[in-house]
Amino acid sequence: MAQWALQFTPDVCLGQWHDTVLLEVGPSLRLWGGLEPLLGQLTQGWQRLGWPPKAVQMQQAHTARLAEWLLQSPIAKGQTHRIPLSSIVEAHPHLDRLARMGIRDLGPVLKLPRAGLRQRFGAGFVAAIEAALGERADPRQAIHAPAIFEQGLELALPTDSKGLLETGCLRLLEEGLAWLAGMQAAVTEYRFVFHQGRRQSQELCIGLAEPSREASRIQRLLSESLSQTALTAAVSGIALRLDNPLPLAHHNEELFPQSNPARENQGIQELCERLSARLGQSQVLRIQEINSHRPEAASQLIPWKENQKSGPAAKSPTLGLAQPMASQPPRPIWLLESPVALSVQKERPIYQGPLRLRAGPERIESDWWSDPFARDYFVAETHDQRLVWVFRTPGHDWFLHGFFG
Amino acid sequence: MPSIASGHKTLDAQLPGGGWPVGHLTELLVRAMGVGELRLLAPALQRLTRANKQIIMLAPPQLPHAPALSALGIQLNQCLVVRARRASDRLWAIEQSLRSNHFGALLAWIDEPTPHEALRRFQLAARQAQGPVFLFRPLQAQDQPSPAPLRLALLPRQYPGLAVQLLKRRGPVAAEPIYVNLPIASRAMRPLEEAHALDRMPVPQHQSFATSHPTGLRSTQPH
Repeated sequence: MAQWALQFTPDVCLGQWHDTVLLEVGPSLRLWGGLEPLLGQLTQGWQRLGWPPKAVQMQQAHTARLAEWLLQSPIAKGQTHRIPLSSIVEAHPHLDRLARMGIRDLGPVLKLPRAGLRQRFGAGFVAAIEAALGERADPRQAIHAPAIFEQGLELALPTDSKGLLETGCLRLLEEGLAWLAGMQAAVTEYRFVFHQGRRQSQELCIGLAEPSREASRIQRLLSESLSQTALTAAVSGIALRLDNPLPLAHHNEELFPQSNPARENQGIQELCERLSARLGQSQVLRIQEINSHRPEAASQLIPWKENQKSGPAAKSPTLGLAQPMASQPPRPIWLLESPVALSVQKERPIYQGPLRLRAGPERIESDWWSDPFARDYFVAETHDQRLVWVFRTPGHDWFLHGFFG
Repeated sequence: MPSIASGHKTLDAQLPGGGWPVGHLTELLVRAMGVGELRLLAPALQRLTRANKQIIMLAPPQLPHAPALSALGIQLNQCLVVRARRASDRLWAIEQSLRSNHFGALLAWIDEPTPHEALRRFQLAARQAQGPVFLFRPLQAQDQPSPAPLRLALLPRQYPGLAVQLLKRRGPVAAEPIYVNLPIASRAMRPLEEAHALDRMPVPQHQSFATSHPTGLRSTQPH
């Protein structure tokens, strides 16, 4: 929990008592909009971690030591003078003597002269009181976040219920996001591992186009990916690993959100992530034109995440019309993956009826040293007046290759 | 209603808003591909990609051929193609895309009969869209009611014509289909008379030597 608390303030340390975490929030209050909102965030946060509401208690005060004492003393009900001395670690050696003097709470101790206390009970006790009251500096060592986040949780019983797994993943995700927030960073990959027995495990990796730690976005992607994953065995433990934290790309909110290219691009990226999480990475594609004589090689579809090939193979997109369109040979929008053989009647190719040639021939041939082919392409009209792209081979065979959508 | 001009004057004159409606479903009913369905949308798509908007093509009948799209002036780096084999995935993907509403235009192909409920949800989700939404459906779907405010049947005519039948629109029903010219921009597409002449010519013979680039588009003398 201490690591998780680092997202709220960099000054976090462990208290003297077991299970206590101290947060210095004074400098961070403005960021969180005040004490109440911060307390609200903390409460929501540890509920997301899976702690039931009553399991965590909070106490705030002017100094760390006082807050801890108050936390340990529910009887005091927030009042300093009613803190029982048993809550103060430095008072433990002196509890008997103080009890014989009739002093059980902090209140009477505060009324006694300090010099006398120091003489009777030692400097340690008095120093602790002064630190709690804010009269003395009380430096603490803040904890540091690890460079890599790796947390796991064990399930009480092995399960293959996706609902339970999702709950577990969300809990780990909450801790992971807290670590990222503390580091002021984000990652492009969230790697979940499902342990299924001694040596068996399955991995679920959520990849993003750019670093992000947006909770709702990752949760959505997790949900989609999990529903598409087939579990090979019951899961007994889940682990989350995040490494390579990168600075978060901050998107400035535009004053006029009407047409915001940055936001639109991000929106499209998120849509692609969501679509590919369910349909598969190879089903969301970008189109690229390639310099090639072969029509089937002149167009390439690549998964949206991969960088476009640049180089002699790829054709760079022409801005504006470099060549007047009329000089380009006609190409069909819908090119069939492989040409379909057509029957011939009276030297006319047949596709749902005789085809009428409209334009051509366009001779497309390959280099003689590679796989040779020679085709005469024609634009033809079907009996129902659709336009198709057909070609004829040297052997006088006709093929259908595309439709002019 | 906000709209994007289709680029075809005779069509824009008949469309409510003077163009393709933004934030509403537009159904384009086609019997089969090759009638000029994308050539019809090309002027609008070209303008959108030039303005750096994204065009999403969802479950197209074939993968679009890059040189053909470039020839229509559509910038390839603004295009996204989504494949979805199963019908349920297609419907899900359409809804997700509509909800994200960051596209310049969404083109989706649905082959099978679609439940009215799904179309209603699409139409609702389309309200937030910043661009037109085109649903390509089979011609038989014209007999089924649909919540789309604009439904057009695309009926092929002799090159270069296309007849656009307004099956449904806001406003008076149009009795006559609208004729649009969709020439394929290329010197190769000769006017009608020459095409007839080509038919009557004997089919050209192949030359035996290899050429390194496509020949110019002239009718060859038989060798």
